[in-house]
Amino acid sequence: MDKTIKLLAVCGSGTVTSSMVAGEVKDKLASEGITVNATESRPSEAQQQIENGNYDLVIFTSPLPAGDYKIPIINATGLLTGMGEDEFWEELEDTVKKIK
Amino acid sequence: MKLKFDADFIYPKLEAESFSDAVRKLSAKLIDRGYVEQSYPDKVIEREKGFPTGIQLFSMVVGIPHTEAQYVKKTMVSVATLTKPIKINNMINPKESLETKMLFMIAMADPKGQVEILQTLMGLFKKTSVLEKIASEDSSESICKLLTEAIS
Repeated sequence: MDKTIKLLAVCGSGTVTSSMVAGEVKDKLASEGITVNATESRPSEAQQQIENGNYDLVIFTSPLPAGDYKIPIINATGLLTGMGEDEFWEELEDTVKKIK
Repeated sequence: MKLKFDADFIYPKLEAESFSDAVRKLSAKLIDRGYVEQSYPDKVIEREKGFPTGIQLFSMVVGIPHTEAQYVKKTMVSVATLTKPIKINNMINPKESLETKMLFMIAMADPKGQVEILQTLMGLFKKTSVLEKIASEDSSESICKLLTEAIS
């Protein structure tokens, strides 16, 4: 099954932590034959990017501003801390299944 | 590029009054040796106010201060254990104040190109027993050895 997911990874600086979690998601989904195109972002820019960017999914390690986002948004801090990591992967898998 | 710790940038039982103090102490050698720009500590401290980097692990809180790659010339992860806890806010809940006695200050010259380093570091945070051992060690060489073994 060839599938590509457009992922927006959001963290405070838009570099370090977002690259960490995006890397993990890329590796994991690659093993299931899913390609991830990841873009790193910071909370202040995320809203605009989500509106304009045609993303399938957002993961974050710094809270996003409140807003009406039309796409799935998943808290990825479990990947950093190990706490809630299994729940993160379950939610990710469920969400990815629903993306065409 | 793989994550490599360097005993020269490991600070066991560091005396620090605050987060800012710790960051400045860890930055001095990075600046001296050309790893980061002069402005690096200020940028790290400034960024921390808006986007704190305290993370609650299973048995302890660690801080991962960092800033944008533009202030970094060469990648280095500095490590400090502290004699007394300093306040740091929670990355995922920025208003929540935590206390930490362990910092991994991440100076990344190319975070996207060096994701492997970040992933290795993330794996390390899940090795509770290693972190606990490090917390009680007195020498930078032994900490470096423990960390290096844990990630290899």
